[in-house]
Amino acid sequence: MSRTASSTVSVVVDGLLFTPEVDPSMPLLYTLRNTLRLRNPRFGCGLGQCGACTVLVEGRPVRSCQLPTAAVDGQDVVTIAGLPARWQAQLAKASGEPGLTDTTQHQSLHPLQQAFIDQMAAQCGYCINGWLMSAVALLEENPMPDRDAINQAFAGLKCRCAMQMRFRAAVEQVAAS
Amino acid sequence: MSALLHAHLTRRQFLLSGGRFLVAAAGFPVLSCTAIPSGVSATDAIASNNKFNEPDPAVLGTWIALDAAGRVTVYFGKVDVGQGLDTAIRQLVADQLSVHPRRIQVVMGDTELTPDQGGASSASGVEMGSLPLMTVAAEVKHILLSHIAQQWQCPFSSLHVEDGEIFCDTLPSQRSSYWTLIASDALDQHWLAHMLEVSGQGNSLNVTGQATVVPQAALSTDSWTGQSLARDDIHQKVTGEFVMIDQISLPDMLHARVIRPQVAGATPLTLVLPDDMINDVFIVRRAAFAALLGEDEWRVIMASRALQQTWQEPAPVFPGDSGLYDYLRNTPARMQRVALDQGAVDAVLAGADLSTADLSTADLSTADLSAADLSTADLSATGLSAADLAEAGPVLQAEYEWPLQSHASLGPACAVAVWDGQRMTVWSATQKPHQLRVGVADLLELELVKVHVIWVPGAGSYGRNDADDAGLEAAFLARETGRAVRVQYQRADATGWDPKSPAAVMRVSARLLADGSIAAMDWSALALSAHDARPSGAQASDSLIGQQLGLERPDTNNFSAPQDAYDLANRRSQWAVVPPPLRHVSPLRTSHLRDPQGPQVTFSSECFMDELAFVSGQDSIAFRLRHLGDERDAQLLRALATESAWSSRPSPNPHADLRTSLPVTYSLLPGDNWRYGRGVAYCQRGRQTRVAVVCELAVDIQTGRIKLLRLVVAHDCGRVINPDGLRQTIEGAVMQACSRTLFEQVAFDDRSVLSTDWFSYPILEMASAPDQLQVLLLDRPDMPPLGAGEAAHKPVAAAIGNAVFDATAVRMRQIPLRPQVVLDALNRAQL
Ligand code: FES
Ligand code: FES
Repeated sequence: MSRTASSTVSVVVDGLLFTPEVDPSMPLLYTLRNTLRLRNPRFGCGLGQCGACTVLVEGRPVRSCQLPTAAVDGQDVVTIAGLPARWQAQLAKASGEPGLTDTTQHQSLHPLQQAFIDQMAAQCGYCINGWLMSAVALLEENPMPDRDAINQAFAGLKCRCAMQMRFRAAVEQVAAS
Repeated sequence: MSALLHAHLTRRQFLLSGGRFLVAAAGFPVLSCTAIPSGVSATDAIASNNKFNEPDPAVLGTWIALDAAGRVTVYFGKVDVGQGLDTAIRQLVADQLSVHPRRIQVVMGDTELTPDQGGASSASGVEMGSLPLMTVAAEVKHILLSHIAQQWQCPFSSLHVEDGEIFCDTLPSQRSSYWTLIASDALDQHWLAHMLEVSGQGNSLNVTGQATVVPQAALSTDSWTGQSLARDDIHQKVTGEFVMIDQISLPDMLHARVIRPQVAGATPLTLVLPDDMINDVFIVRRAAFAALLGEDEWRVIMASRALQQTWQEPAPVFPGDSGLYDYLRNTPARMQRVALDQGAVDAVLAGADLSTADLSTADLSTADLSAADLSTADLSATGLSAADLAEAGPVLQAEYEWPLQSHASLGPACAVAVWDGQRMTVWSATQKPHQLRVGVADLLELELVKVHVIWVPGAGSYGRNDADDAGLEAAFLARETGRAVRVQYQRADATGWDPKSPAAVMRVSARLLADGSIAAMDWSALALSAHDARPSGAQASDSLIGQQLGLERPDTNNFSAPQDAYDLANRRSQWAVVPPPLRHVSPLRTSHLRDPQGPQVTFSSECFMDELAFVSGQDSIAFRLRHLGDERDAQLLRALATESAWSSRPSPNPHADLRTSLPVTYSLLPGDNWRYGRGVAYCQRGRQTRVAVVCELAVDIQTGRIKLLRLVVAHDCGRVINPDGLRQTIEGAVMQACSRTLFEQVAFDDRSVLSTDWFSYPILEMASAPDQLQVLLLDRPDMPPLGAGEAAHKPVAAAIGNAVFDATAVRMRQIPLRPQVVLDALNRAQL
């Protein structure tokens, strides 16, 4: 169908291994959404300016609309759907137990997901990948961020429903606990 | 099976899953619930007509369905754009039906299932949209209890219901429930075919039955109304379970990318794809409309970038963003409306000729009236004497400018459509699905009954954004190709081409009496029409594709005037609409954006109130209070003053360099160039909801940067249904207004819009958010719930402008207050 050279990329998304055959220059966003049918990362600008497409790649928040799929070959990608499993694995690691690998089993939410719910930190929710994933990455690196650190972690993210105060409150809720 | 049926069945099966009464609700009156033999789905039955269902508001079962498993479904002809409207509806229905809201599911915005209630419109979802749903809930309760009263031979008044369980005071051993009743054969199976009396249409659609709706004030204290019931959708949104428009995918679907002109008014001459793409992507072109389609979305995007295009370009038609206000001032208006005219404004403001004054400077322009001869003026209608006027001050006048602003929804519009040769189905995030349905029928010249629009939540919209255009274009392409088509706009299609909020130049004049009260006020606006694209997608001629296919749109004029309770004997408000620089296929077409025109209008009227308070040395809140003619509004302002710890003094702040001059101590800002100030603004919304806001901020006089510190909002929208949900809604409205005030302006030159992404159209980011935002809700349990989605959006710009003046003694009369604009004004004032 496509005339561009495609190649096989091997990537773990939310704990599952995928080996899609894709145009390696195609942004990860389209591989996730259209090839793997994982449609949580959203298209907001395709320019790296809003964050709607954010996923964690090796634990770092990345704009998947800007990242060629080839760049994640052999890497670990997490979408918001994979956050509960990520949290469980971190808990297990901290307690020395083997991590959970079954992402299909019901798992409790990541504390930031819970904090977003507690703070009602979304209206339409279209922007949520950027804020939630950036918050997760921030707290993994800095469990007690001050407001400057929060501003920095959220820099560039957009929310047209203007829920900024609540995203910040959610981070501060988890940091305080 | 066709893609249509596939997608359609999924939806239908979902609805069927609740039991036979769901079929009744969905199928009435085309089908009766018993007319479907088992094994034949409602879809098949409807499909045999080649027509979609028309939900009849006169039929009870159109609105509501109950099943034996204890579930209630209500069919709501509005949509939730992210503010939890459906949760409020569940609470209101729960109270009338006496069930727990968790039993209630709200189906929204499906033209086959929900009556036409006008869609999301004017923050009317609760205020008006809930009325028929409360009526039908009360009616269902009445029917079921009447049945039980007859069965148990007890008085109706002895029955009561708790979460659907039915009890009788006089027969304590008797028990039943809605659900057992429905499961039994006792009930006439056509009970939901019960007819109601219908009144109004669209937003005002309402029904009356035999039962009486329990008024809010008469609800028991443990009612669901007034409680902060949590929204279900937030959980789904943070876990990724929530389905949005961009996730709708049909088998065998084509991805489409529309081609917009680079230059306003241009029409395509040649569009040529590179050879290596023609196997993957093809062009559909009709008249001036063109799109690229293919099965692989990324290939289609690549093709759109590689497309070789030539266009027929007209002479430049735009005034450029720097020439916009002169364009408004100098272009003959095409219509004028006097919104308010009381007393005799001209008699009081007589003699003022400010036509040559520069009204945008830091000082108020004044006309010296000492020489004016008032001896012949007819003052009888003014309520004033010649002596009053002889001692009155000069005529004061100022002009305020508000730019074009983009809707800029976070997701560029997306829509999916499929045509099966007979019927068109469109999935869209439109705010008004029933109206889009009319528009699709109009564009494609189809019978209305052959079009089905299914609303799916999308990126938040706050009026007419680009969603209707995408829905129409998807429908058009689906019919052209005979395939399922998904239209996904790119960022430039959205920010560059979505309907804009109208720009305006607003002039206000007034005269103060010797006691500092307002003798007369004259407000007028020169503006682009807020209906250059009308609020709904019902007219194909208002859409880009309609115009590209050659449809002519009529002139439709709309703007607004100040809304407040200032009781002024002499007052006039009028607006005039200036024709747009480009009539068709314009990237500057104007439409509704959140509290349409409220921010513009209130910026001018409430900044001017502050200017009057300043020249007469009065405190801004006290000055407003002395003119307020409505106790509800006065209470609101007093409550705001208390909540914000407002200290009574005139502006500007005499200790602006001290952050301790504000009542709250904020974290230390770096450097000593900050000047601190506070401002207030107040307004009504639709003459029902009232809102007032105090803003505290700091201005960096070296850079012009504004740092918001605290916003305090006092809000009265009648009965509060869900306090937490309401606070969040208000917060979004306020913060978005901060964004529009501080950052937003559509840049354009003489031929193109230059704001096409988030760099060229910046909005507020985390670092610009205030330290604190407080919301004070004035609950009015004796009143019905009123609109809340937009009101708090209105006064924010004025409060910020007034706070900047308090901090710097420099008056800003132009939005947005970007650092350079503020700095220029500061520098001008120092000269
Ligand atoms: S879609 Fe990737 S940053 Fe906007
Ligand atoms: S919640 Fe709507 S864009 Fe952020």
